[in-house]
Amino acid sequence: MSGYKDIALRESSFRPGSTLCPGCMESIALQNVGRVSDNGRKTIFSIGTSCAEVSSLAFPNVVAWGRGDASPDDFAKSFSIIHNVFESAPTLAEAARDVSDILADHGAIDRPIQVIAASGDGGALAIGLRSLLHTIYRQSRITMVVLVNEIFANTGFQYSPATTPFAETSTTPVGEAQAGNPRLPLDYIHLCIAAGAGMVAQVSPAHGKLFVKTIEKALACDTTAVVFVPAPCISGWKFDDGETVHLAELGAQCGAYPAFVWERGKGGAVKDCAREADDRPRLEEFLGLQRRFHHLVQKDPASGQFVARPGREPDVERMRSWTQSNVERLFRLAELP
Amino acid sequence: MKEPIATAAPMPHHATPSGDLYPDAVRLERVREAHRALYTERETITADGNAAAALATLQMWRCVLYAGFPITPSTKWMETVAAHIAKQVGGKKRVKLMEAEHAVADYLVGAAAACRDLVFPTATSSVGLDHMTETTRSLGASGLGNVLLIDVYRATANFPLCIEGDPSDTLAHRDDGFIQIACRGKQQIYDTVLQAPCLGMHHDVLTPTMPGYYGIKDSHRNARLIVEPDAEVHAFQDRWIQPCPLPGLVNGDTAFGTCVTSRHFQGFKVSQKRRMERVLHWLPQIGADFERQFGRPGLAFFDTTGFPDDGAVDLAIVTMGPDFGTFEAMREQYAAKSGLRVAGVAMRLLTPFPRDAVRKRLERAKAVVVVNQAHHHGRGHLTLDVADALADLAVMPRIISVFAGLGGADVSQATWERMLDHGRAALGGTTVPPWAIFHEGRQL
Amino acid sequence: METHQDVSDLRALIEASVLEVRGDGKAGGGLVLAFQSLANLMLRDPETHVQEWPFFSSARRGANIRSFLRISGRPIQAACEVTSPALSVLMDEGAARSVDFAEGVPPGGTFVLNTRHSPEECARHYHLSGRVVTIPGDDIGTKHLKHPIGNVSLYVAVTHAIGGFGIEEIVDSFLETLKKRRIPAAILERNRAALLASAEAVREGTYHEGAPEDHPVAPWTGYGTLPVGAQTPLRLSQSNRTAGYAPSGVRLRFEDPTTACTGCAHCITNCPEGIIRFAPDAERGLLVHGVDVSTFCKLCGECIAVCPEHLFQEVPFEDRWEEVLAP
Repeated sequence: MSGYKDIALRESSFRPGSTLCPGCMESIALQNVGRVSDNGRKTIFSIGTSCAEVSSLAFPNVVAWGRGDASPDDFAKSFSIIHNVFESAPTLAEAARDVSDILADHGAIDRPIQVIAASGDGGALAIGLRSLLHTIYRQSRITMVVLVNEIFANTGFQYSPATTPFAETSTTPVGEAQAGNPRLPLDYIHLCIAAGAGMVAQVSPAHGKLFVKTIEKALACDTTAVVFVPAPCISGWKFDDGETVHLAELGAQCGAYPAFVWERGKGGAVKDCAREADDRPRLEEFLGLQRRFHHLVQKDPASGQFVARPGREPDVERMRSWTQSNVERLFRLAELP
Repeated sequence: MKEPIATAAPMPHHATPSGDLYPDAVRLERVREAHRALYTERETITADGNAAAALATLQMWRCVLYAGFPITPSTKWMETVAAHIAKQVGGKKRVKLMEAEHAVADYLVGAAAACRDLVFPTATSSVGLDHMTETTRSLGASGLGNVLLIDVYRATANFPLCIEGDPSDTLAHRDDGFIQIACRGKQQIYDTVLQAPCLGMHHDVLTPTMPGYYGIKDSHRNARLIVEPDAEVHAFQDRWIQPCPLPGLVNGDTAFGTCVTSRHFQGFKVSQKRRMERVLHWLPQIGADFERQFGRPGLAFFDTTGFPDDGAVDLAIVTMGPDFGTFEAMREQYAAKSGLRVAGVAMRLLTPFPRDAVRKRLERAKAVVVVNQAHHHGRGHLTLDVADALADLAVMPRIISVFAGLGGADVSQATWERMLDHGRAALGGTTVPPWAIFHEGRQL
Repeated sequence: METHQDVSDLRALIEASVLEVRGDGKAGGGLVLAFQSLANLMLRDPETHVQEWPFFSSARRGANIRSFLRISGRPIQAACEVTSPALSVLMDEGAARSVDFAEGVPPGGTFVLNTRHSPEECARHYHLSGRVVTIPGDDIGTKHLKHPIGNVSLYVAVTHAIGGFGIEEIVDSFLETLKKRRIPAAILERNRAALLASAEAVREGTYHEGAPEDHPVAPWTGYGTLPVGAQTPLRLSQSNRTAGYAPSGVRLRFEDPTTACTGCAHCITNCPEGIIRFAPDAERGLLVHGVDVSTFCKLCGECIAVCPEHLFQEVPFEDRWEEVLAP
């Protein structure tokens, strides 16, 4: 394992020049995955259609990828990327993994290759759930990074199966008849464990050391490792500049998407999120920073705290109880062997 | 290792417009050396169409990874491949069973992009091909000529579902971007699959191929098949398949599948069209080379029967697939009985449609009866292409459009006779409808 | 299309043929809303037809976008892009760094700019011939909407340029557009104040500072040689200078006169662009010494938020025009 600072010193394969929004968590996550993967192995990256893809792989400015200024002769710094369609990231990665392995099996290549796939939650959990689960089920030795912004951000912030209850999205608008998203998110962590993943984690770069350590472990996993990265979306969640990392951390601590790492055979743990609701930061503070929850909470001028809007108390309580069940669920999953 | 396949000439970095290529990263000769020959001598065996196609891919040293998903009537291709690989102790070829056809197509993209010097085959049919459509279009535009998608023709419509063969699936995918070649008979299937990558991977072409044959009528009928020794197969393919000048994911620093705006998109479509048009230049040359080496006809735009040297005939049939054989078998008899000069064309290259060659072949026919076997709401896919090919002739043959054999329906001799009579009537001045469907000797 | 049409009277254009409008701005800057509001205002006249559309591709917040508007007294059939607008609008001066907002505007055309500069300064700087209308929209936005967003003011300035509208209908129409977007009532009132303030802040003049060759329409030069399948090289192709995404008028500054940087690396690992400059340091592991502000910094503020020593800050920054024009 490398230290946090050692990772910072590495050369990321995700370069500046993407057209992602300022302060995009996907960008921060890919910067770090790019750094951790600068480990002496050639990297093949696959990416599903998503914000991260259209904002970084635009012809003729494929600006945002490649291990920059290293000599092109240095194969350990070699980097390739492929995109096909929404659901394809795991399948493309699996194919590249298999071809690399079969070439190695023939003695046709002898230098190590690592394969990483990235999708959004829409790509991985809606249109691409089948692809993801089957790649896991086939025990493909890839690292799958799912950037979970809880919406189809690329098409304009619509509902996805990872959308938090009550969140306002373009297709779950708030109106007199509906208070935002009426559904609970899919239990994707449990699904991945059940499908046979070697490692499943949920962690964002807001937990910086844990994040890089988790990606390192994932890259070393000998079956499929899936890392869900909670990715606050500045344009879709509608929060202020400079709040991305803070929100990622607060949401994890509040129980909306607790940091969680599980390894097959070793079990897992919930990190930096208390099991008891009273020991966690107030949920209202997390909701209040995002205009997608503007219908639930407002700032109380007297206390400066966010509180439930009059009449919305039952919804905020439902939200709190969902958060509690979410935390409990992860604590129970952590006990799986 | 004798031939220049693996000893690619060292290329300077940035040698391609697509990024850095590491010419020494993959030692392809190791893959070639690891190949275990299926046949060391020319042999005559009995095989059905699916087995013929499977054997051809198994004999290629460039095929090491076989992705697939079962669907009638192409399933036996996969089973044959799996059976051979299962008994090949120490062999390094692998079967990859996916969860759906869509995943197979996706997988082919990733695999073919990973190593552009290997060939990645699969076989599918009907709704399996439809299920791949999201990605067949990506593949068609990708430049990945090392993808070999064998389509075993089967009617595409459900409501009702039909597992038997007509080419409505391949014809529904005319614009996916694949080179589409139709085969009839086991030998043509085997030979076509062997030649297809030579065409698709040609540097001027770089376009995936979709050889196809009729489900059931060809996929499930057994007949004699001559198989060539693997060494001969390799010698032929290695003569045509040169190391890809473009980097793959493994041996390159490169990006596949970028997105563009309208400022560029059309430009890419123009180059894709041009690559496809070069098929018309290279296909006959590959076919001629195949014939030189193996003594059998190689790839061609179409097969013909009954044309005199000057091409002047009264009635010319245009169709595709094995039912052409029934026509061949009765042609002379019908000609004698009717006193007409009767000839036929069985299309092989469907996309790109060889317009000029078709026109040249048919320009001196008085009437052309186009027999369509796939459902179409107009006069038939094939009719439209033939009409387009003949359109600029000063004296255009009369084009008569008929349908027969939809969903693999039997096309009997009586049906052929009735269709020829229909053409003959039109030739004699009788008004015929824009299209007519025939079955069991009757017009429906 | 008439070639020697007088394009200075915009109202006359609407009645006689068609008024074509083009706007340049940055995604997320409110250009689309401004154009939609203009279209809604125009449609209050039952005799008027409009066609309004943005071109944004996959641009995210801060990237250049364009909006188009056609207004006519007759049904509008044309579907092609607007290339010689009689009215050209610049929502964000930052956007003018990478496009010529005056491109193809015929002599005597009208220019509306969201800027603190005077019409005369703008005419000289951008080489404009015609009527130049300016409004300091960002300042009005900051004052009334607590946000330096100039679309409210720009909308008012364009209505002024076209002429013939009463302030009430200008205000009502805009607020109606906002209501359709479910904007809360309190914010609607702030917008009303901004609209009224804007009407007082429009300035204009007519100048002859540009020659026809100053703003040529770039000819299409063909597709060139395109790589097979759009497969693309990666290394060293960082040509998309995203510093232009940052809001105008401010910039990131890193200052560490006392070498307070602890080398915690949080700014490095949390910078979405990966542009924090640092060097290995024996004592701290690493030492941050700057940021690549001028090429890629989108000014998202994450480094400001995560630095425990508060070494990053957002500071006012006035683009000097000489710099902007430098190639």
